[in-house]
Amino acid sequence: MIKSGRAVVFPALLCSVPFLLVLLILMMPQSALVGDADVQLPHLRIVYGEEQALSDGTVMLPLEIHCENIQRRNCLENLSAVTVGVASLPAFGPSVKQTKPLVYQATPVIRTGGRWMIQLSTGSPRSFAVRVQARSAINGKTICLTAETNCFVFGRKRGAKAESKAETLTPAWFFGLGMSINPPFYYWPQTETPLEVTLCLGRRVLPKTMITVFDESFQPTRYLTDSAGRVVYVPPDDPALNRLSEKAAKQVFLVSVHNEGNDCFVATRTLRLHRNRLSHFQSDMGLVLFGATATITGGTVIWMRRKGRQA
Amino acid sequence: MNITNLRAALQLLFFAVLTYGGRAGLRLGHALPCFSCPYVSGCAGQCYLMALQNSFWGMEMPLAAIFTSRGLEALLVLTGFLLLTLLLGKIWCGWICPFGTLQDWIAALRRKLGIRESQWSWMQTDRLKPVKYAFLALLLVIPLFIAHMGLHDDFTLPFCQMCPAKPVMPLFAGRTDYFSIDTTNSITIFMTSLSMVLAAIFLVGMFFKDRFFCIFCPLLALISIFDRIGFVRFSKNVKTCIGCANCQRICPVDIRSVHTETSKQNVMSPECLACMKCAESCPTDGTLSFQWLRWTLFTSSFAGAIRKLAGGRSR
Repeated sequence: MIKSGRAVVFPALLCSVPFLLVLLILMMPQSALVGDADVQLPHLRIVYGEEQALSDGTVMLPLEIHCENIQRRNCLENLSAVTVGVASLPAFGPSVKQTKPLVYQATPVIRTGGRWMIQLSTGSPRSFAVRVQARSAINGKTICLTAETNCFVFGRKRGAKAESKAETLTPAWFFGLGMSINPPFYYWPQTETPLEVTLCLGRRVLPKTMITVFDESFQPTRYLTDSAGRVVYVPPDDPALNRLSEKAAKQVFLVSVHNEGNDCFVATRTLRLHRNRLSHFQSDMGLVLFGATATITGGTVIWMRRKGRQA
Repeated sequence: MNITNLRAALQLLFFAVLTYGGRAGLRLGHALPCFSCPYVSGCAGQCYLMALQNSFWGMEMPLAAIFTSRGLEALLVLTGFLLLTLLLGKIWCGWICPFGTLQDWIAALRRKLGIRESQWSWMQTDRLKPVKYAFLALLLVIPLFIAHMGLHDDFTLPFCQMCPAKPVMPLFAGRTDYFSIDTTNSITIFMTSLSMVLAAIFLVGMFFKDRFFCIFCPLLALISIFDRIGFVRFSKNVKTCIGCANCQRICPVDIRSVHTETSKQNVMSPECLACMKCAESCPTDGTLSFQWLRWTLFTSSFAGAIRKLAGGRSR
C-alpha cells in the first residue's frame, strides 16, 4: 500500500529530529558547556596582542581584556570596580626561583572604541604577572571576576632601567579567585611541560573544584582539583605549532567557577604556549647518526691511509 | 718552562676559565674571538660568531633597528670583538680557544696511541682553504635571508646549529642534549642531522689531523682579516733562514709560506694559529719571532730548538 506523501514525510521528520539535535550539538564549538550554568556566567579573559619592537629597543606588548559569556557576548560595560595590577621582575636570574610575594602596581586600562587594553612596555628583559579584577551582578548575585597571565617581554633598550611611579597595590586589593601556576616564571610556558595549577580563594585552596581548559579553538577539557586545590595540566604537543617559528605561540584559557553563599567567583588564566624546545630531541637517533658517520669517516680515513702506504 | 709547556698550561687554564668561569660569576661578554660556546651552561663568555648572526646585535637585526640604540649596541659588541682581535690576534686561536685546546688534547691522545698524523698534499691543503670563507659567507647571508626574505626562523644561528662545538663542548658541562635529532619539524631535523654528521666528521678528523677544524674555522677567517693591523706580528729574518723546513714540518695546519718566504718580513698567513711551534723548532737565532707591537713575545734560538729536540716532542 502506498501512503500519501504527507504520511511518509511527517514520521520521517519526527524520527530525524533527535539526529538533527545531536548533529547540531556536535557542530557547536562549546557544545560541552551548553547547559552548564556555571560557565554561562561572564568571564574575564586576557588576550595577547601582537608584540611591537620599537626602534629604540623598547618592546611593547598589548593585552586586551575581554569579558564574555558563553554566547560570546561582550559584557565589558556591565563590569564595575575594574582594576589591573601588574607585577614585574627581571626575566633572568632570581625571578626564576621567585620566593617573595609579587608586588603588584596599578596599571591603567586604555579604553578605545569599545576595546579595553593594557600595555606592557619594557626596555629590558622582564617577566610580568598581570591580574585583572572586576565585579558584575546577575539576578542579584555578585560575581567576582579575575583574569591572570604571566609573560616574558624581552626589551633591548640600551641602559634601560625598570622604574615605575605607579601606585603599589596592597594585599587588600586582591579579591576573587586566584589561579596560580607553578613554575611561575619558567622561561615561557611550553607544550608537553607539566604546569601545576592551584586554585585559591584568599589564602584558602579550593579542593574538588572544576577547572576547564579551552584550547585555541575553544574546545574544552575539564580537570578537578585534588585535595590540595591543585591540578597538573600538561598542554599537549601541537604539530601545527611545531611547524611555526619557535617564537610563535597559541593562547589557551583556564576557567574556574566557585560559588560561595550569594557570591560567585570566576577566574580565568591565559597561557601563551610555545612549542616545546627539548621534548622532540631524539638522542637515540642522534647517537646512531653520529656513530654511523664517525664509523664511515674513520673507516674511510684508515682505508685511505693504508692505500697510501701500500702505494 | 719551554713554550710548549707554557702554552699547554695556559690552554688548560683558559679552557677551565672559559668553560666554567660563568659559574663563579665571570662574565666576559658576547664578543670573544674564540669558540667559547654559548651552549655550555656556565661558560664565562660567548663566541662572537653567535652575536654576529643573531637578531639582537647581528645580521638578523631588522634594518629599522640599525640606526637606534640597538644598532649602537651592535656596534659596541663589534668594537669589543675588534679590540680583542687587534690586541691578541691569532693568540686567541693557538692559546685561548677552548675548542682548539680540545683538538690539541685529541691529537695528543693520538700520539700517545702511537698513531701517526694523516699527511695531505699541498694541493689538498690549498683546496680546503676557501671552505672557511664559505662558512663565513653562509653565516653572514642566512641571517639576512631570515630577516628580509622570509626564510624560516628555524634556520636562525645557522653556523651555531652546524658547529661541531655545539654538541661537543656542552659535554664538559655535563650536557648531552645536543647529541640528538630535533624532530620538531623538517628544518630542525635537517639542521640537527647536519650537526651530527659534521660533529662526527670533525671529531674523527681532529683525531687523525692536528687542528683539523681550524682549517675550516670561519672565526679564524674573520680574525685573519685584521692580521695586518693587529698588534701581534710574526716576522721572519729571511737573511738568517737556513731553509731547514722545520717550521713547515712542525706546523699543525701545514703552512708552507713561512718556509718558502724569501723576501717579505711579515709571514703571518691567514691560516696561522700563532702557536709558535715553528719559532720554537727553528734552529737559527732570531730568524722567526713573534712580537706584540715592538716587544718580542718569543724568538727562535738554536738552544731552544735543541731543547725541544731533546724533549722529544713531535707535533
